[in-house]
Amino acid sequence: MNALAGWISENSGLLLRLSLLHLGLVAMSVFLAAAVAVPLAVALTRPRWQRYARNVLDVVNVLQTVPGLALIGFASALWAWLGEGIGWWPALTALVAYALLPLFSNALTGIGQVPSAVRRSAEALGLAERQIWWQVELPLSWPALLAGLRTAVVFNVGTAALAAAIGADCLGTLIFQGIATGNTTLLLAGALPTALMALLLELLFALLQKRLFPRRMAAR
Amino acid sequence: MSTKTPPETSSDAPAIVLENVTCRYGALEVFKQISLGIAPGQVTVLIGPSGSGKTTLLGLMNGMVRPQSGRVLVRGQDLARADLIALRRRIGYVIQEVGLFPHYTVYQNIALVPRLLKWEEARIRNRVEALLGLIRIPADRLNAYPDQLSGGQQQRVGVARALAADPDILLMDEPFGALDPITREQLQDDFLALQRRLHKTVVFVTHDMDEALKLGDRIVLLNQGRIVQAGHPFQFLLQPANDFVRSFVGRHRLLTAIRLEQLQPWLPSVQVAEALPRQEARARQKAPPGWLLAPEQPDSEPVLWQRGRAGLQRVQARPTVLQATDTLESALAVLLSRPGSVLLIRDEPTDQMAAATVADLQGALSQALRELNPPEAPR
Repeated sequence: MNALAGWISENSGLLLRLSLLHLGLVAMSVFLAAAVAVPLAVALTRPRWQRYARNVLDVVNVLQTVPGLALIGFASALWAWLGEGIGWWPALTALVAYALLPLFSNALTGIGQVPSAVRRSAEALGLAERQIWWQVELPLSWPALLAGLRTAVVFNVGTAALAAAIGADCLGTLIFQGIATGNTTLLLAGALPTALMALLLELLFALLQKRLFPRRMAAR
Repeated sequence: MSTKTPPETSSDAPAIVLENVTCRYGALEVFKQISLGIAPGQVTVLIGPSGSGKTTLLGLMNGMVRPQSGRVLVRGQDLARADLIALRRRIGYVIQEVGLFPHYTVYQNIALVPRLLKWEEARIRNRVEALLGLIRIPADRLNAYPDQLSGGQQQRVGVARALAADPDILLMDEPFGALDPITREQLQDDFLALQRRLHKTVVFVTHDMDEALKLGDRIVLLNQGRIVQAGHPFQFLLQPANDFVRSFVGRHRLLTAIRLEQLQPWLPSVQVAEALPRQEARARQKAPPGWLLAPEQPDSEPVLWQRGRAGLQRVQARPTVLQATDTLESALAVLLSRPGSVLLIRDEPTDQMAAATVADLQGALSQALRELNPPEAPR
């Protein structure tokens, strides 16, 4: 333990850099995944496209079922074929694919849960499609969206650690080095902050959810 | 004199017109070549068994349903070429499931359409507060959320939301269908009272004939995408077009469904006075014949008098007074229990009085029917 504390105080700069890179990978991947998943879910809840929702969900489900490390391997292979197979971009690609499912399926559920009577009266009273989304569907599916965001973020904190395997600098880098050199101190210096980050983000989302949606629970 | 719009409508152009409309969902034909005009300022009730197409018909009127062929005109404008968003903001819409926004307060829900129309906030607030009084919701509920209201209150707010921007047309799809019988009756009564003041063009869908007879100025009975009979409630009661209509109306409803207010225009009116006019008590020959309600002595109870050639004759002290909204059945019950008596019928909003004997009622009924003939031919 003393050895760990000593290592951390000596290498605080490195640890901070790797933590920020780790967080950056998570934030960027979840953001990009949300930018894909939510519009996709919106499109697939319109009457025109509704019948394809099931198929798309199946595909996204398959992506999620592939083990994280394997997915990272595939992303690396893909990027190697395009040019450079190691580093940030392949890692980001894998993480985006990994975060799609919770975001997409929660968005689909959330929008699907908007009562059809509410949507119908919104339309009948003269809200345009876009207004129905911003004023009705988004606010009403927001709890489900946030829950999806929470799952995706916490998942990806774990999966991002694996990205060190293809040379993306993050807290996983310390873990892999620790394993490779039999250095427990180094291993823990990577593993503990990773675990802590997951726990803290989980807590943050829990607080956020409680703060944003207290009415359902507080009413009556 | 009638509080309902008289059956022979003004010459105003119809507010909504359906011209040879054919409507299909896939292979299923909902309507074939249906034509219908909706008179302004009246309550038109669309009624029929489930699957008869009444909700689809309503959807045609604000462009939520597009016809495969034929035209739909609202205020003379062809919906195929109309800005539907703008149109819908000028048509109120109420549905059975209410469909209030659960994340909006009562105030925000009612303010919805005025905000879409970019009214000033002060004007919106005034309007919402005025509407709350109209629908009888206490002002302290303004900041409540829909799930904190009872079912009846929710639908009242639903009606207020539909009326918020003061549209001249109101589409209502079984608005009271999900409420318990007592609440439903209350909301129906309130709706009628509201309609007497506002005179909106209302298209009201229901599957409940009692509701149709109670609320409708005109009833359109649909079956399997066709109009079976359209006309005044009287015609449904007294001249059903065929056995389907007869079974749908139900024979027992005749007496309860005819309201005294519907007969009042044809009944002799009663003049009400504080006291017997001195002059008239003597020089009565000049006065036209008719009924007079006045006390014999100042401050004594009112007495019903009949003016005739022989002068003023005392008929009855303390005659029974019924409301115009009461049924023919209750009027007959009173008249038949006291042979030879005269009944007074008071119309609350206008404060007009009419008098009726059994013979008067009979006469009014046949007169009403005569004025409605010939019945509108089923299309």
